[in-house]
Amino acid sequence: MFINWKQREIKLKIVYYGASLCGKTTNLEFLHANLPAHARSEMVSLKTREDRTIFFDFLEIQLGEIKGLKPKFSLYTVPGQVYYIASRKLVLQGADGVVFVVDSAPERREANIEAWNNLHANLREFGIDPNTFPIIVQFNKRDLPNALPLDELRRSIHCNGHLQVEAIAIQGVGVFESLRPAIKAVMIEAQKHL
Amino acid sequence: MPKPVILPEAHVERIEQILDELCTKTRASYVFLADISGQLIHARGIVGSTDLVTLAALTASNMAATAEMARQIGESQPFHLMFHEGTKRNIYLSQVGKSFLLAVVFNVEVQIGLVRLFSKRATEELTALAEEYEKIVQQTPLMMEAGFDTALDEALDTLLPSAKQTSGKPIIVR
Repeated sequence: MFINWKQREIKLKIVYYGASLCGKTTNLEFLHANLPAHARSEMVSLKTREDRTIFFDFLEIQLGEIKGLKPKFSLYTVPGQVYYIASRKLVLQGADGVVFVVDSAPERREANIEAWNNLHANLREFGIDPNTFPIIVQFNKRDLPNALPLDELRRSIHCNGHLQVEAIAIQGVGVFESLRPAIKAVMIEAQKHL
Repeated sequence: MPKPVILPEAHVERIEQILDELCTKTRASYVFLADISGQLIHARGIVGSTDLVTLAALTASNMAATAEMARQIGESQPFHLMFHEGTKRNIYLSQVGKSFLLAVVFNVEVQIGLVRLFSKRATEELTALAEEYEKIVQQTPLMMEAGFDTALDEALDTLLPSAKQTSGKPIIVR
């Protein structure tokens, strides 16, 4: 969190975290395509030649002036592939909240668990308690014919206690609904620290 | 939540002075200060059409990646400066304390020695300011006005309406 007293700006960082190809970049692409230009920056994607995220995607969202304050939110994604694991931690640095994207495909169950455990380990390394940190869990790809039941997904990553949203990010379903509570949660946390 | 960075007005003015001086003395196109999470703190000089918010995010990530490179090759501390040379423009990055970075963007005609010398001075001054700032943060008063939460909800209703759904209604569960 960064606050500039003079310009009355409050800047918060929200990181989209999850296994490879779970839909993190798709979330940001939908936001970029569907938010008015005055409310968002251009989207930056650092991708490989195969169109996979190598470092991060970045998009800033502005809410305009609210009661004399100008809140801005930097949205990042982490690379999902395991061999970019060091980059995930770098992007997570300084995050005020996380949207954890879960892939509903049965064959991605283990990858979800690996990413969830990796998120927890990285937060702890930063001295942050994952159980009290703002994490919104987005169950993505709910349109898959063989999507795992929600209860099974919940059990696999033990995410009870965190707010959960169902999504089909590629259609935009659940994208705004995930970002909204993430913004609320980081703002509530921010106020505790002021 | 990570430790917040809260800049009091007096500090912003001092940062502006340091950045102005650095920009003038090095004849840089522009200079900026960011924190290591990628948030732009302040910029001075002629920025033109450059998207500084994005540039700050990229430079911070760049610094973070090279810090990890330093660790991987057995350095006990992160690299404290980086220099990227282009055909028309260069960028010189310095670490400021543990939490900030200073970037100088300048044309290739400018001598790198000047940038190196004055960046070092500015970094020392900014580091001292950062240390002083750590003490001030504890005394910072609450600044959210009454009704802020309601106003935030209204702004979110406008920007992120549920009507954007194309099919089905997402279930939100606790």
